Amino acid sequence: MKPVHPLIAGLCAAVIATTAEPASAAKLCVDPAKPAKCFGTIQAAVDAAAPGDTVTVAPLKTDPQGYRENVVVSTPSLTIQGKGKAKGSAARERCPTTVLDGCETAVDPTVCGRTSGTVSGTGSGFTIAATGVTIRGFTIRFFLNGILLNDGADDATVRDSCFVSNRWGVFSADGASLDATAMADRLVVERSLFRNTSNREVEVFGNDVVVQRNVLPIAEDGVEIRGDRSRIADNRFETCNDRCITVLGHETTVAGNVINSGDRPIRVSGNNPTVRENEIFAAPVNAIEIICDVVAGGSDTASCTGGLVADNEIHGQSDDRDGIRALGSNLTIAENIVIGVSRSGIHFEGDGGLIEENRVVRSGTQASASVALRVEGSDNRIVDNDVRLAGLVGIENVAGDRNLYRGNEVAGSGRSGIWIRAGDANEVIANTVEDNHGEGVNNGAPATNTVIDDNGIEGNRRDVCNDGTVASFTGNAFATGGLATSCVVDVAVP
Amino acid sequence: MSRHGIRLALGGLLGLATVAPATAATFCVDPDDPAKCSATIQEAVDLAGPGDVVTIARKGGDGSRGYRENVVVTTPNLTITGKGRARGSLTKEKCPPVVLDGCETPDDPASCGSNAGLGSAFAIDATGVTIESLTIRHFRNAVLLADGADDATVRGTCFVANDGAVFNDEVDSPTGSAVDRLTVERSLFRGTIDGTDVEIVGDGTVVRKNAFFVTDEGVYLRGAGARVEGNEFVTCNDDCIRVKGPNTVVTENEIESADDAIELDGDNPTVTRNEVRGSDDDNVNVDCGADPDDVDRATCTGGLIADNEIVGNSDDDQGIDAEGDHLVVRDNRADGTAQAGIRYSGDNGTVTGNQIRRAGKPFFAAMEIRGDDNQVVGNTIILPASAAIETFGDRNTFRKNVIAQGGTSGFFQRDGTANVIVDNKIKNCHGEGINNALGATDTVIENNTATGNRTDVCNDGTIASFTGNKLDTGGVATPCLVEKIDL
Repeated sequence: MKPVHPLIAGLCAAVIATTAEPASAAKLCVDPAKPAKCFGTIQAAVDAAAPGDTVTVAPLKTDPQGYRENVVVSTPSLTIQGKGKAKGSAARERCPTTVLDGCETAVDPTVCGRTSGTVSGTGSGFTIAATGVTIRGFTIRFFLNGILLNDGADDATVRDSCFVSNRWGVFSADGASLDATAMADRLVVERSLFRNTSNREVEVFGNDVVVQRNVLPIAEDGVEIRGDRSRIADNRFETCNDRCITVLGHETTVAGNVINSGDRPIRVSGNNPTVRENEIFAAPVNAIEIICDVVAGGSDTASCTGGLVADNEIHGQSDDRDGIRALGSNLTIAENIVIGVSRSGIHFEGDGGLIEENRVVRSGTQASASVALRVEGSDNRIVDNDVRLAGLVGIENVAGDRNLYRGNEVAGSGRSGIWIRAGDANEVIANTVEDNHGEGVNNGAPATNTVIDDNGIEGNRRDVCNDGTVASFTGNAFATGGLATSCVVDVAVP
Repeated sequence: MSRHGIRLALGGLLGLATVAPATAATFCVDPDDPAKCSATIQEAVDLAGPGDVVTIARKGGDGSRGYRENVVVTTPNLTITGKGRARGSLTKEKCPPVVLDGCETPDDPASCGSNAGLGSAFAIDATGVTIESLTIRHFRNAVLLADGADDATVRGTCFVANDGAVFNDEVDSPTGSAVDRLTVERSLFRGTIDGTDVEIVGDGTVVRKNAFFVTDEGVYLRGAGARVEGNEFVTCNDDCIRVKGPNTVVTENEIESADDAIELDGDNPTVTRNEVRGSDDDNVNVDCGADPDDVDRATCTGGLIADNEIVGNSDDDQGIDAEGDHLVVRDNRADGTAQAGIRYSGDNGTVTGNQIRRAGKPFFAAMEIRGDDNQVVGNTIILPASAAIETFGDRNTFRKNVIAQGGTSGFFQRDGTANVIVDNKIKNCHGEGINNALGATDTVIENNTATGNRTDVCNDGTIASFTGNKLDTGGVATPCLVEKIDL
């Protein structure tokens, strides 16, 4: 590579800065083919730039190996821009033509590959050690970290880039290690593509992180964020070998993502999460798992102050786990569609929750714990849900008091329609329970003072059975069984 | 037998004379019509002779619990039929209205427990028996076939919340019971509790055109000449289709969301035209060899895996994992698999015409060939996560394959001697186009077009011939870098 005299480079930058942009936002270029006008390396241009400047990096047309640098950015508010955007689908991919390559770099001078069992190099494409830096329009490959964010590298943006065969795509700190010394707040990662990453595509420790509109075909661990107010939205994941989206923090939003074949698609731990409008197909483990706790990563789900899981669509889950597994009080689970889940379609544990207008179809098999809609906790409202063709039980009050089951339609379950297995003063009111292969409404032996009013219960093996105690039984339309009829198909042991 | 029973028998004989040939009388079961029919299925079955038909009416009155019997069939060639068919889609279901219920039966008088019941709806100890158009629920084994109950047919029946649906012996530890030529067709299975819907030991089993919705394990067979065809599976908690035995055919099944979708052990398998979407483990796993319990791939005499469509798997497994000599793996399509789209382990096999998109992960190529003397021809591999084709073995021929946009190498000739790479096109890979690694010796590389790759050709091994190739960068003197084997 032909060296560029620093004086020439500085003059070049100054000329461009004074002619094309205001003094506060100069443009510098990188192009080894134009040594008179541009810098020969990205690092040289970055070092010459001032806060707020833009560095444009031309593709290396004659060298398919790309720029082989480990760029360190310590100037704030710099924009470093390659050429092109990242676009990808299942069958096509178009990446920026400006390539930053981790093989044969200064940090990793002789290798980048599978030597001695490592998948990629030891250096980083960009190390960001300043605030407000933007990286866009690059293909970044074969690094330990495509982009490494140092502690305090806040307000960074990564956009329109392809990350290929790195160990990490964008990284600040190992979330699992609780390494709070490297935090990067307000990071935005958007419209980028990640593939063949051996660890996580985006692993960041920081608050207000946004990861949106990215494509992640065949991710290993996808996106892992530790921090509050994260937003993971409108990304497309095709096959996550382990996890797709994992967030540890409060007030997280996970919305509008499409996830096909994720081992563990969405897992959020922390208070007040919002998970909505995601589409998930074929998840072996829990498709959506919420552990709501005021201490992120804790287990005191009673401390949860709220959260929303709504309008998600889940289709298929195959390894004895739940479609939506939500642990935490005061959560709202509304208008989700869950089809073909091997254990529970919706599994809720908490108090004061609202489970409303969900549709659960053909869910639950194998273990006796499999229920299409499973509730453990007290003072919850389970209203207007549509539960059809459950493999075993339709709705089960596994444990808890004063829960209200109202306006639900439960049809075609393999065993009971609504099973109040245990608990005191639960209410089963104005539900439609039809054509279930077990009992329609089953009040188990440990269930006391249950209210069963105004339900339409028809066509079940036995419409009503009771082994517990009932506080009220009025206004029900049913043909078989009754309060004096013992339960047979699903029998709860006191 | 009571007078009532005698009258029923005469009625059967009269019916025999007027409506059916002498060899096929019809006996009815209808508790609401005691003058003409038996009140229980068992009674009618006991009256019937070989070749007769027992028709069961829907139980009227308070019949919501259905017939609660454990019927034993010892008369050969009996047909026992209810009414209606089993029809189901993802969101709708229509089952026969004639119900056999395993709760409160003689075998399980007080309950049917927290799991399914204890008994069987039908215990079949005769040949040629047909069970059709029923809904059978809450049994331990809905239809239990005794040793020698050959030529049975189960048809048009819904199986709901049973522990196992159609069973004769445990495939994993067979006791010696066998039933040959069983056919299970046009039936619906769901909510099987910790068991298998169809678990059979015997030859010539046919399972076709059934629907399996959210089952624990779908079909598990041991025997020769099994055929599993045209079934639909939605969510299998374990395997959807698993067969141990030679000459198995698995074709035209649709499988969504399985733990293991198709798994075959035995010689000469045929797996064609299946659609498999979203498996946790291998979508199609074939271990070909003479002994299905201890597969030695060298004893495989052949087999075909063709025209299957595979999309997505998520737990470090392959789209098609085929092991056995002489196998043909052709014209399959595998998209988005967590490890190899196709992994073939064997000698003298043919891997041809397959399309693989976005498959593999670090260290795992989209197509992996392990063995000698294989022909790998005319495959298209685009956007593999890492390498497109990785080889372990000798004298394999790679010809007319198209590779584009690999995350690392196009061809990764990892080791082996005298492998031949000819007439291939490799373009725009992020690593080397053709990578002849340190362990690869005497490789022939001829007439390939390798362009737009990070380095078009690299070589750490030895090359027997390198002629007629079109390339822009690298060459036989260029060391490999992106994927480098350190011996």
